Amino acid sequence: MSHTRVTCEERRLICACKQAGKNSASPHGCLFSLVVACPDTLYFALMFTEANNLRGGADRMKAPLTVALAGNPNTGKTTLFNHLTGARERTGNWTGVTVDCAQADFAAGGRCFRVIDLPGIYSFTADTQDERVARDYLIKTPPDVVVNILDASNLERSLYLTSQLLDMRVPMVVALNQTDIAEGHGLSVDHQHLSQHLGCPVVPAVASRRIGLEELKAAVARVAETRALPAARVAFGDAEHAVQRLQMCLIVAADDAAVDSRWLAIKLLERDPFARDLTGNLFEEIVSDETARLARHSSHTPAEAIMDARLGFIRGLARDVVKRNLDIKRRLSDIADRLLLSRPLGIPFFLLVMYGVFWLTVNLTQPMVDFIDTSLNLLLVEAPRQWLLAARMPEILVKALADGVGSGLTTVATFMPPIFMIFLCLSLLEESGYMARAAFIMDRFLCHIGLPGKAFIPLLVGFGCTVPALMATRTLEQRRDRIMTMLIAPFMSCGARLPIYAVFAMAFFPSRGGAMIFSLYLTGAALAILSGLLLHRTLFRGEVSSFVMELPPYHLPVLRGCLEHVWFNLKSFLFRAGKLILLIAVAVSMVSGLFEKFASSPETAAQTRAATGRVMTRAFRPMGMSEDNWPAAVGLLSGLMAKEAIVGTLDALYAQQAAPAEDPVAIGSELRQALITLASDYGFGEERGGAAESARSGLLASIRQRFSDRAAAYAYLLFVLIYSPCFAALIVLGREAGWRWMFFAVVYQTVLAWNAATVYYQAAKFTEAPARAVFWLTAVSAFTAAGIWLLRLFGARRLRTEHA
Amino acid sequence: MNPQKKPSALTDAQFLAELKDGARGVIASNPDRKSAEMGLFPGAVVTMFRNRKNERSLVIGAGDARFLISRTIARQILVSPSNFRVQQ
Repeated sequence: MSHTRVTCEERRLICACKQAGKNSASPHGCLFSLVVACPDTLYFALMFTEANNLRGGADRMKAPLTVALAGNPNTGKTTLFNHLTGARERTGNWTGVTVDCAQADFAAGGRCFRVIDLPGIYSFTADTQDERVARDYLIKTPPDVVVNILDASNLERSLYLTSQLLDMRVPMVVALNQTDIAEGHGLSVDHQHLSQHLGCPVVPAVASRRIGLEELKAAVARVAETRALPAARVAFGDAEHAVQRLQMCLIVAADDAAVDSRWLAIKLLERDPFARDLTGNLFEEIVSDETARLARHSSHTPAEAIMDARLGFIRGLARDVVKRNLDIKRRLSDIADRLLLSRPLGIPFFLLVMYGVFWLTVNLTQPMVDFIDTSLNLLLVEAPRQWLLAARMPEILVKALADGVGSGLTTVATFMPPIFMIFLCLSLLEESGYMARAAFIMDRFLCHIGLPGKAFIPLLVGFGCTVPALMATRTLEQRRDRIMTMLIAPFMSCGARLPIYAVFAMAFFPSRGGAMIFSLYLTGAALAILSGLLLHRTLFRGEVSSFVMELPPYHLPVLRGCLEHVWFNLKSFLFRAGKLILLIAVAVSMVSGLFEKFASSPETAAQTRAATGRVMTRAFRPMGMSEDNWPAAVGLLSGLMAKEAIVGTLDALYAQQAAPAEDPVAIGSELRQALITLASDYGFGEERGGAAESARSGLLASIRQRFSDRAAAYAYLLFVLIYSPCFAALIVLGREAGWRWMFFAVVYQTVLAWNAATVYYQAAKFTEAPARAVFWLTAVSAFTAAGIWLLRLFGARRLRTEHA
Repeated sequence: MNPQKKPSALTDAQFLAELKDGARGVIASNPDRKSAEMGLFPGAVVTMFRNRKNERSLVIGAGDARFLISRTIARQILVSPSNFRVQQ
């Protein structure tokens, strides 16, 4: 039904209805009420309906017909989608959700069809985000036809979704996929018999070999034209009477919500919150009556009776149409599982795979990231700056374009190689079937901090870069698990922090630099575990989600499908987070430009910066930062933009070079140098010399001079390790988990960083100043206790809200 | 979560979590909706592939599908002995 435009007739009708005291939200609900109230309006109402139908018909002739693909995971849904459409994919923009649905067009019988690939789901109960997306799509934008993909080798399980689609009363075609695998397992499915039972076309297909696709297209075209509904419906045994009675009561409400009244009745009896929202809780009394009546007769709740009847329907159907010619056999996958899930072989194999993922995502992409950073910095920041300055453009414009747009684009581009690689690895792992096994292996370790085994992968990727790590949490089904993983992933020390550690190691720990850096990495991992434990016991209290997860059979991944998945996520990063990163970069550069413009001279600007830094050092004094070491405090601020910027800021401020270098950069030669570096990093050409180290000797001396001793330097590094993630990571966190969680992450990590650095510094200085150390250690303990108490409080409130 | 009490009529039945490796049974009842929706419904033939006391999850087969299922759910699912032959 089209509700897009309210015509004059409709408006008059609504006015008439309101006068009759029958307020209704939509023309259709209003129409029903009006016809009941004043039969005289029937003629007018019929005219309206006819006009509406004509309008809808005309619209339909122009617009492509929509086809939604719905089915269980691992039924070959995406393969079917790609082969039906030739994978000319267009990204659907699904506001507010991170589960993406692909859509693309195909033509058949002179009509255009738009295919929507809904996420793979087992039911429409909306326990997971995938199920919610699929259900909301079918309810809010009913497609012209739904293609329900059944796995012929697992027919009984696939039919559960079919039975729910029958309730929804949508035009439906069944694609009986993977018939070849079913035959291999000794199963034969009588598709004609199944079609008779369901009352809709059933097309046998092998999507991977393009068998049955033409027949499927023809069936889709036929059903989409006629909008024929399936003839079958599930009878709900003990609950049938309750369903029918409720259905009668909510015909108008169902019409208002543009859903089938029987489906709405079933959902209300199942106490589905979405259905209750749709009806504004108006039918609670009838639902309670029917529940009580059913309890008296059969000691079942309506939901149980509905489930029993549904399962009975499925079993009967499967018994009729499936013939098993062979007994169930152990498959090759089972034998592989016996080896790969066992401890002696499984854990080493898992570690090997994870090392591979880490190597590909971090080591392989790092030179590429450096190259993109250097070259784009030259092409998009330095070159435009020179051109704009030469063209005598206003300084603020130069700032906005070069430092804002240019460096924003550079930042976004540097994240592309690791994000590409991590999603390639993730989809290879998913497609091959190993991901579920890896989750099993890690489950026994991560369950102690209340996380599922799959959470290990984002945590591992966190050692490379926090941004792809946060994106990789998309593989976790439960929102609680995703948020918890996103909150602890930033503790894994990312690659951008390494240069800072390296500089400080050279300055303070020349002989034991490696051990010092390793200790920081270990501290990060330990803090991730401790934070996991703390959050699991406070903010995310409650039972660890019990789960059922399918172990798909092992198979060789199809590279094309994997690359499509990667492209999808890259685009998602570009459009969701990239835009914001760019915007913030422009805003920050404008603010800094304005600050410099309104300062009376460059000296005043530098003085203001130093004064701000000195004020900041007061907060960092307990962790050993003296007032004259203000550049270190300013460095922390620039680290919020990007962690690697800390070294640059320290270098510039210690050398009193606050203003950018005035010498024009020779772009051509710098680019050539970047290319040579890239080639040498990948093993082509000669190794680089130690020029960078010698250039940094001045910086090392300044660091040694400004930081009083090793304890202060290590405390500073601890703070750098733990404090708030960079703004790109924060934007991704906000986009994926919500802005509230982003603020929580900033506060939690920064407070924890301050506590850890202070505890370390004061403990190290205990013998020198015991009274001061005792004071600060007590203060930190009290502070921590208060923090834990607050977290427990919020956790209890969350639990109460969830129960409510 | 406490395991549900076995009904007296199902004297031979045991909980899925009690099946030994390689043992097979038919699901007699499953109060957990999610796992039932995924195919572990009454009448489905299940095979235990991996059941270790110290592991939180079990590996089972139901028909031709394989599942990881947490022990808390497996303690709610009742299975009765199956007459199917197992081909090794």
